Amino acid sequence: MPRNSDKVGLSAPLVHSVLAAAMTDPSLLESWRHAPETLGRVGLRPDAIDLNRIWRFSGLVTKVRHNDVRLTFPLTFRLLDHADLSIALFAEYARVAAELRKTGVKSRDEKAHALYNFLEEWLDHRIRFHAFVWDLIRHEKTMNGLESTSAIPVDTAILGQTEGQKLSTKFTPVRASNLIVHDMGCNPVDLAEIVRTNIAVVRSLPYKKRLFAYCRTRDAAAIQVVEIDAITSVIIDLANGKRSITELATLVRQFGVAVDPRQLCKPVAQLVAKGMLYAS
Amino acid sequence: MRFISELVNNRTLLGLAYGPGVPPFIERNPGLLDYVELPFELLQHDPNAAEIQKQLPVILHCASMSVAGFVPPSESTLNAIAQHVERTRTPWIGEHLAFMSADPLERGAALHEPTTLTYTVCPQLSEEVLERVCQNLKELQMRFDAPLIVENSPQYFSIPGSTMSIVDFSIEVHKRCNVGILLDLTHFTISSINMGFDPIKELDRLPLERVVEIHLSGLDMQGDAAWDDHAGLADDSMFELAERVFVRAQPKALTFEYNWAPDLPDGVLIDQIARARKLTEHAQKL
Repeated sequence: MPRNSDKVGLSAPLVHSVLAAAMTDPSLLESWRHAPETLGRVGLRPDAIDLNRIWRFSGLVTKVRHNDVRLTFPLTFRLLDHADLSIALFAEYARVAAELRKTGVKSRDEKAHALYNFLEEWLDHRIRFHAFVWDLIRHEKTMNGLESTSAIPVDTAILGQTEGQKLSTKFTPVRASNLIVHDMGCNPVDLAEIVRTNIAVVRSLPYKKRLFAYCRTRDAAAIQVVEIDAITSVIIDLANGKRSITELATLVRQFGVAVDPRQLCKPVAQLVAKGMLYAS
Repeated sequence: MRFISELVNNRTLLGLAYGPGVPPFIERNPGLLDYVELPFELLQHDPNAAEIQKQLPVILHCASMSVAGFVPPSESTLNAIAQHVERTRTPWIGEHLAFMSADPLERGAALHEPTTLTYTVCPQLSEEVLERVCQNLKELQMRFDAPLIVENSPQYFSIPGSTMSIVDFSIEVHKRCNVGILLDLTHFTISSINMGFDPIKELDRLPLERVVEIHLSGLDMQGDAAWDDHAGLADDSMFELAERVFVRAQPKALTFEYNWAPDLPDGVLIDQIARARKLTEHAQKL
């Protein structure tokens, strides 16, 4: 271990060793931040070093180590930077990232998955900017997932009724396997475009919870993001391929919405036309 | 393979730091750029990155020699750098005036294993480090056929035991060592914000006639500090600093480091390059 020489001032090798240790061992840095007097064990006075600024620098370093994940979530990274969140986020994440590296987590997908999970807990979903970050990363993750799924259209024989044709109340719809519903504070497609082209506008965007369904279109050629209401979301959730429209109506009534089974036939047909539900 | 020597050498060359968006950008915009700056560390990790030299000449950039450190790089690292120098025929090697490795802090099983970082760190700014830098540069220079130039670090915090400013440190390095400057104007601006000095006044104190290459990139203000940001763009203040350099010197190259951003629109990059081209051509005419 480097020691202070007899010269006036702190020895450079010692200082470099302390800084390098802080950068490579986030737990050590944390322990120094919480108990700065323990720096004395390595030959430094607590007031000789700005541990909080070093902690933030470790955030920058961890962020740079996740430049590959930026390719997975480019807009989220942009928003995190714009919202002055990225340095603090990655400073907090440094310890987790170091542990993951020790366990061999190296691929971009693994790192993206881990960061996503960390963000869910780290963000304060009551704060608007944090909530938009959560919306955006879920949007990017879902779009990435759908883009990587097969674009092969479902056989029309399986698709069942098309829009405009009447469905019977005995029809038993099933949810499209690739369909995901998110509750978002604004239209996520609009949010993505704003972050891409005019990010300053995010500050003035209103936040109001709405539901959006993501899935491939019926011909599987494109990905659609469709705003849906609460009842539609319930129908999608309940459509397990075993419940008829009559049974769905009974269950919907339990949510306090009075609905006749015949009234559900048209909306279910519309969902089938969009490829969000299929005949079971 | 393309080489810098093919290019006209009486004007400042313009290039981009290598990133995933660079090869397709070059394909879409032939003739816009003169070179790509390629990191040695990337070549070690992904040798396929060398393919870029079929499109444009390469300047080699390094973050492995720990020029301002007390733990030298390994022989295998230096040999690998030398091989890339020879293969790319880079006109110079840009390396950071920083440290990347240090002695371990704790005794134990890893006693003799140095701590190696993945990021360069501003060194202690002191006479002790100055002497070490000069010694390191002297030894390192003998290893390569291309000259080393050294890049100023961004300073994010006061380094314990420092006895001089980062500008004075840089001035002394270049006074004592015969080494060119890779002037990263973003790093310089970051240091000026974080350490509270006037960038214009301090820029004028540097031996600008030794500037071989300039780097430009974005910076990000978060909390109470400025941070390096290769996903952001160089702003007007950095272009103004570049203009000041060109009043006194004719750097051979100017590199935009936008290598963190996979999706910068072509129009934005083209505008930045055009602005730099105009700046350098105007300076040449003076």
